[in-house]
Amino acid sequence: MDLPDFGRHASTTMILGMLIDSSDARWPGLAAEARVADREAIQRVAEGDPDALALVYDQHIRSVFGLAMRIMQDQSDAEDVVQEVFSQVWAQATRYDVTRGSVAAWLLTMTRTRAIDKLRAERAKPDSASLPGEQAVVDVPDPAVGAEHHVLTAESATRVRAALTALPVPQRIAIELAYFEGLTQTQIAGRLEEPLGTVKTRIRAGLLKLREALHP
Amino acid sequence: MSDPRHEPFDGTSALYAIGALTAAERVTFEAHLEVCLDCVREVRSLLPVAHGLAHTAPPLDPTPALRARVLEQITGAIPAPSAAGHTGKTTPKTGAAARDTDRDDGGHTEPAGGGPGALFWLAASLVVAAAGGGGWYGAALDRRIVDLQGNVTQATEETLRLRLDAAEARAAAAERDAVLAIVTGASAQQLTLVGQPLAPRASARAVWNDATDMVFLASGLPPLPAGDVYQLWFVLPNAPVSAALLNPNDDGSATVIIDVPDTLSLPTTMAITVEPAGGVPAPTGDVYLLGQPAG
Ligand SMILES: [Zn+2]
Repeated sequence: MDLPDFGRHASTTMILGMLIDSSDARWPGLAAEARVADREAIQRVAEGDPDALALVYDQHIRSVFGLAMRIMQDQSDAEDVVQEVFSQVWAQATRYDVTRGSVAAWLLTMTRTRAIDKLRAERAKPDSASLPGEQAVVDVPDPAVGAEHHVLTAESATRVRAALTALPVPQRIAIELAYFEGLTQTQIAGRLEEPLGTVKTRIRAGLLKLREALHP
Repeated sequence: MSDPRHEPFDGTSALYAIGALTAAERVTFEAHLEVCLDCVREVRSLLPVAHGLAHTAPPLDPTPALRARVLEQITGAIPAPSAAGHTGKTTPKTGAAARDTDRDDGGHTEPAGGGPGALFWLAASLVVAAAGGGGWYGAALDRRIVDLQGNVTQATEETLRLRLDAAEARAAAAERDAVLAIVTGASAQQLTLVGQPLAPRASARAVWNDATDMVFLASGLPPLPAGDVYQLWFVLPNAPVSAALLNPNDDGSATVIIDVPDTLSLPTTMAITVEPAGGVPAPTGDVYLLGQPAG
């Protein structure tokens, strides 16, 4: 085993571990009973129970599909993302660690990762005629949150959305290009024709304002 | 923020939290995180905010056809919608893709981690999907399996690293305890070493007890070129005896616990020289620090 390098790796992992642990523990709005039901369902998925996978699907599909649509801006692509996410749930449920965060956060993280991967792959194609980027700030119409399927309480979901909408437009655009299009700071700067420093400042200022709005 | 090391990373926490760094930029910033508590705190506070952006996407209902397609492709069954209450009803499919859905009569379930794992079942269902015409799903087969294997490896590594973290913490605690026991012991004696002209700001202290355990603490050691190492010596009248090699931290400090040979009677003169990596049996380099017993 490669001992000399441990110290560095271990401490990075430790820092990242702390970061991950904190990432959704404080996110508001998940009802406690929904979390318990989620965990039980995931445990049954891990045992290979198709009913349980259906349960997880029914519970979370609206937010998963909503996020996939928001990123892909295309129904068929978004459906592909959904398929991949639930395949991953089925394959990896045995390794899902309930102490590391909510099932909802796990699903949404997978959804974002899969969707951004697809976008990036598409962008890498030489013949991609239209960059999907220009639609960054165009919102998909916002249907009411279905009472029987809510995961995030209507109140806190609304609060997050309101906080994002309330940001100064340049900050919001920079944040959306990063999060929903998976662009790096350099790509964002290129897209907006702004200096790197400006992009960095906008993203930071925007996230700090969101933080304030969410944890007053 | 006065630390000059932080300045180039000012504001980078936000980019890191939202995932707007390239892989190379991320690696550089993660190295900075190890030395900058301010940045660690900022990332910690911004990460949940960045994750929360997922909730700003408006929830949407897909077509019911998607539900059937997804669940059937994955599990080989289409359970009734759970909104209508949980039913144990499933529609078992024939073929290798079908999992054991026959739970109502006490049928067995795949034990987690035993027998063919989820990965196998997924692979099996993918093969069947591909054989049955496939479509996009069959085409995605290879990449998906590679992905999953990658994830499996990652999880194993992560588990290992977590264990290492714990081991490292325990080792560090044990070492602290040992140092404390020696330094605060009733029989503790000490010798001070003074930086020589090559290391004017360096200083060191050796503390030992009569159980022949010695703690050696140094600070202000200048950084050495690669290939050189600090070596500590007991300078006995006939010949110097190597005591330890020192690996200073970035800030020039070093701590080492030395098991003093009991043929050696303390105090003796002690010295630190710079030697080729790995150390040498007898000193050859310049003396950087020197300490001599009083009287
Ligand atoms: Zn910093």
